[in-house]
Amino acid sequence: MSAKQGNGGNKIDALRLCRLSLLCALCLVFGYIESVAVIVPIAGIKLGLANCIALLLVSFDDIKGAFAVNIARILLSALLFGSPVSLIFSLAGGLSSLVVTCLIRKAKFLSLIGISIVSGTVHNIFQLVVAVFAVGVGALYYLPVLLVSGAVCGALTGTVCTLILKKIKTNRKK
Amino acid sequence: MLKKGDYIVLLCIAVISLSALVTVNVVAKNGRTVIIKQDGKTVYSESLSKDNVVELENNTVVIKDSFAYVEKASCKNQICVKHTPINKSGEIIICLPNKVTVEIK
Repeated sequence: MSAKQGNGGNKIDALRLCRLSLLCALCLVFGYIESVAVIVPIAGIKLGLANCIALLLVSFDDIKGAFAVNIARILLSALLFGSPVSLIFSLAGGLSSLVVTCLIRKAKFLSLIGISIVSGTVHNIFQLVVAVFAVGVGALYYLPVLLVSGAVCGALTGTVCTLILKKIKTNRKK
Repeated sequence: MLKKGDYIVLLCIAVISLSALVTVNVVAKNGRTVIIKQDGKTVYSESLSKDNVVELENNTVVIKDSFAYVEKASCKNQICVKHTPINKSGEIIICLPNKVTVEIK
């Protein structure tokens, strides 16, 4: 595929656009599956598989791609399966966790799983902050549950990501 | 697969969530009033010790033995119904799809 020339002379890499779009679609499907299939028995807790995609992009140092895919997925997901309220919660959680992920991605003392744990926990913390604005201080009652579930789900998605990365690396060597 | 830093992070999270759990249970006071809101507007505000059944358009709230809980709801996720009964000041049950909140003050 060849690069396309845009109006201001900005080149749009068609291959990159296609790749990111595919990842975004995959992300969207992950989000949809989680909203329909109950993976975690506790009410309202989701696994956050969609975060895998953003995490993978960050580990390949494609920060812009990670943000693009994440934001696009959040908007599409809210449009298709959610409500305006869910959009605010999703944005708060998704953006904050991605920003933190990008900040700590170079930390040598953390593995990808550790980064994912932090990512999941931060996601839940910021969603709780939004909830407090919405319903008041009583929402803080859920802080322990959200911290633990964020960490556990983060660890699980981090493990999945690590396995995926291993497969990608072994396939590249072939 | 896990590095040293991961364990430190996990430990910090465990410590913070445990202290939050302890704090919430120590600070929590038994509530006195039940306030039920529909679309942000208060539709019921009575003493928690007064047994009652409040029938809203899409939810049914029961107040019994100084506890409040949602018995029935038309929402898809039923999180409000699955919620354990509340009685402590500050506790709240939220039905987001139907915009109903049950709060203890």
